Parts: sequence; structure tokens; C-alpha cells
Amino acid sequence: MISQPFIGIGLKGSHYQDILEQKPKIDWFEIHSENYLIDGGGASAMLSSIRENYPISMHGIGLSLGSAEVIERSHLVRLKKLAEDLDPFLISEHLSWNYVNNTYLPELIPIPYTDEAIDVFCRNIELAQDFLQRQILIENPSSYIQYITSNYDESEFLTKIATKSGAGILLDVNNIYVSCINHGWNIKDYIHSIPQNLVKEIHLAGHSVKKINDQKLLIDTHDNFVSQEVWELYAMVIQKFGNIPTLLEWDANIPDLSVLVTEALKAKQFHKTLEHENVNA
Amino acid sequence: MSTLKTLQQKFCSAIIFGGEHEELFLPEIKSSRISPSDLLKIYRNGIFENLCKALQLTFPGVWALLGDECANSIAYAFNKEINNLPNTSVLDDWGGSFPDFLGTLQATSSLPYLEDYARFEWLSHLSNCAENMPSLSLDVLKKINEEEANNIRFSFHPSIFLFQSIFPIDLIKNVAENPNADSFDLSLKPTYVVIGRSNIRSLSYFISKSHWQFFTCLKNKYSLQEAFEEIESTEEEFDLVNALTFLLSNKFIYSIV
Repeated sequence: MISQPFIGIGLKGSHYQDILEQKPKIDWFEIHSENYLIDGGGASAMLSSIRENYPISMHGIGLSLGSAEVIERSHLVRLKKLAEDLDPFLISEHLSWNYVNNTYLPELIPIPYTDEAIDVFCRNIELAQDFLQRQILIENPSSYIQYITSNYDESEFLTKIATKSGAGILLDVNNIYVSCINHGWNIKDYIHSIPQNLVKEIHLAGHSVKKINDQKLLIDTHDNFVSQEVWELYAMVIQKFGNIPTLLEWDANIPDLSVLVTEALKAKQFHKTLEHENVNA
Repeated sequence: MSTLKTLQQKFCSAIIFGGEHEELFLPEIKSSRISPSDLLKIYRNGIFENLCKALQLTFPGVWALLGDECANSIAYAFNKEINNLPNTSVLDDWGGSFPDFLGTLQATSSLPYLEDYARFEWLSHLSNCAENMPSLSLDVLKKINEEEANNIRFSFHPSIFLFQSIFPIDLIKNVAENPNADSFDLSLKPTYVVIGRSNIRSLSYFISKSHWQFFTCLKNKYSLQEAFEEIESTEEEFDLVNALTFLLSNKFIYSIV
């Protein structure tokens, strides 16, 4: 059980040197696993040096757990090797797919929320967990389409596969906000339907607004500060789920390291406020 | 075939080919205030943008030489051919056929060196990602007597690649990396390069033709004597000590057999 808020940021190549020199007061870093599934070289060396001073989590974008095809064993082998080298405190993936017929599409593509997809997802998660010999977390995606064949709500689907497969949930608060606004889902219902014991990590990020024929669509761009609405949602989430490791993602238009750290540490203020409210209550 | 697999194949075809393939997929999308076609476009744009970014990271010089707009257009054309799409989510493994593609384009025919420069960047990328290995200790060499020395064969560090071009790759590299650099003269002599990794990033060593030929022999597992005889037959003045010193001082060798 973590007593203090445990706040991290995504590790970016442009910050390696600053992290090693400045040793910023951040609790942990998260990597995109696929950026380090190489045999050696500079990025790996930098990551090893950073690992000496900080806990690391591995966040995958390429396992394609939602693919109807069985996940690639060769990818699992490389993930396991990286996990053995880094000893990450968490490994996570997405509620999405991106691989079919030997073709990889680099996007987090939503799946239809059906019984068949539950079976496929659970089969692939169990394969991954058995191979890696540990629990993995599944992150709710931002989405722009819904399928006509879906017969579960996203939060219900996510809960079902986590419960059935033994996976945990990485709750991305920005993604909840983006998908709920895009699809007209009820944000509070989404959060309240997720069981407390399943959530093991929280993500925060910035999004942008795109106008299509005078209609607004939120896009999960990770290129900006966290919006006020998402911070407010974060306050609601930690009130329900408690003190969960929280990570700020910022993957495009990446600012100086100090900007990222300052933005991430705002999360601590929400924990303090919550603690204060609990004491007064 | 499962419903999910069919859906995923239809999605993939809709993204890559569009047209009638897109028409087949669109009914799968629940109607909303934004048309299914516009929503699918968000994914298509995201996928092609991510693929372009990955190529740009591997071929930064190509982007610098062409300019972003032109390079992105070419990358888009490359990615529209299904056989060029990645079959792995580790995008560091992907892009090796991009130089060949550049060589087939009419649009870049005024830049005849572009294909070779892209090939040079691909090898630099492979060097950057290659396995970490310790370099050969000089103590090992000291224990070898003269007779044995003639028969030794070198194993090069996995980050070492040898590359030759009829174009002045060193001058092109200078222009690609320094926007204010002087333009280069294509009539200059061909270049011979060793690409290797020092600590954390790849470095290029522009060397003489005879050194390049000698190193190529060694990398192809010729014994030291065989490699030397091969070079000496065409260049009597070849400086063996100088060549070996260069190899060893730059830590290009990781073992001998």
C-alpha cells in the first residue's frame, strides 16, 4: 500500500540527459516498451542509467491484445527480456488492436464490445500473463468510433475481461473524458461501474479539439497540459480508487523536462486536498 | 472465419485502400453526429502520420534534404503500398526497403544520390540499435605469435557496417545536418565508409578505398594473411599496421578466432 502519492511521467528521449544530470523529484518513469525492444545502443544505455535511480513501468502499444489472431510469441519474448532487464513495477497494454494479416497499423484501434471479443481478449491476456509470469494492466482507450455490433458498455467490457483474465486496469482519466464526450456516455456512470480493487494505475494527459463540419470531436493527442475538466475528473477518481500510481503522458510537442514535472506534480495537490477533506470529515 | 477477424480485415483494407473497401467497412460504425467516413479518417490520418514519423526518425537526413512536405508525401506513397507496411510493432525494425523505394521515384530523379544516402542512414540506424558487445582486449592480441597472427580471423562488433557509394556521402551528410553548409559537388570522388557506434550513438568514418576493401575482406572472414594478400595484389604500398591500428583503436573488433 502506497502511503504517499506516487507520481510519474513518461520517459522521452529528449529528456535523457536532463534526467541524468538534474535527477528531478519525480517518483517514477514510464516507457513505451516498443521503443526499447532493440538489442542495444544509446536508448537502452540511457534507460539503464535512469533505472538506477527511478522505478520504471512498461507501457506497451504493440501487443495487440484485441487481435482475433493469437498474439505474437516473438514480441512476448522481447517484452520478457526487457522486463527481466528492468524489473518494472507495472506492465500495461491497451484495450485495442492493431495487427491483422501480418500488417501492423500503428494506432490504438477500438474493438467491438462483444462476447466474442471478451473471449479473444481474455485468451490473449492469459497468454501474455502466463508467458511474462505476472499480471498485466489493460488501459481504456480514447475512441472516435463505436461499432454497431457492440453489446456492452466499455466500462462493463473492461471490468469483465479484467475479472475473467486476472488483469488489472490502467484507468486513463483523459481517455474516459475524451470517449465519454465523443460518444455521449455518462462520465460518472463510467467511473462508478469500475470496481475499486481492479485499478492499479492512472494516466493523465492533454487532448485537443477538432472541428468536423461544425461538430466538435476530442482527440487524444498527448500534446498539451491536462485540461481543467480532466483534473476535476481525477479528483473524483482518486476519491473513489484511493492513492493509485499516477502518470502524466506527454508524447507530442514535448516541452522541457521541468514543465512536465511541474504539470505531473499538480496531481499531488489533489491528493492533499482529498486528505484534508477526509481528516475534516 | 470469426466475426472479429473479418471486421479487423475490413478495417485494415478500408484504411489502406479506401474506396469500395471503405464502403464495405463503414456500415460497421454506429451512426453519430459525425459521419462514419470522417471518423475513419481520424484513424487513417493517425496511422499514416505515425508511420511517417517513424520513417523520419530513421531517415532524418532524407527529410532534411527533401524538406518536410516533399518527404512526407513520399513516405505517404511508400506506406500506401501494402507490402511496405510494417509487420512488426517495433518500428525500429522497419524501413529497410525505403531506400529502394526512393530509387524508383520519378519525383526524386534529380537527386540521384538520395537512394544511397537513405541506405547509409538505414545502416546508421541498424548500428544504433545493434547489440552491446565488449570490444576485443589488446591483451588477447599480445599473446598471439607471428605465425598465429597470419591465420586469425576477426569478428566485427555488431554495430559495424561497411558502405560504399559513388556519391560524396560525407559532403551530403554535412549538408543534411547543417542547413547553412555549402552545397556539394556531385562530381567529387566516391566515398567509402565504416559505420560504427561509439558509446551511445553511431559514427561514420570516411576511409580510403584500400582500407575499405581490406576491412570488407576481414568482415567476410578472410584470415589476416588472406586479406592482406588480396589488398597487396592491387596496392603494394598498403599500410597494414595503420589499418589494424584504426580497427583496434576504434574498438570495431569484439573477438578473434
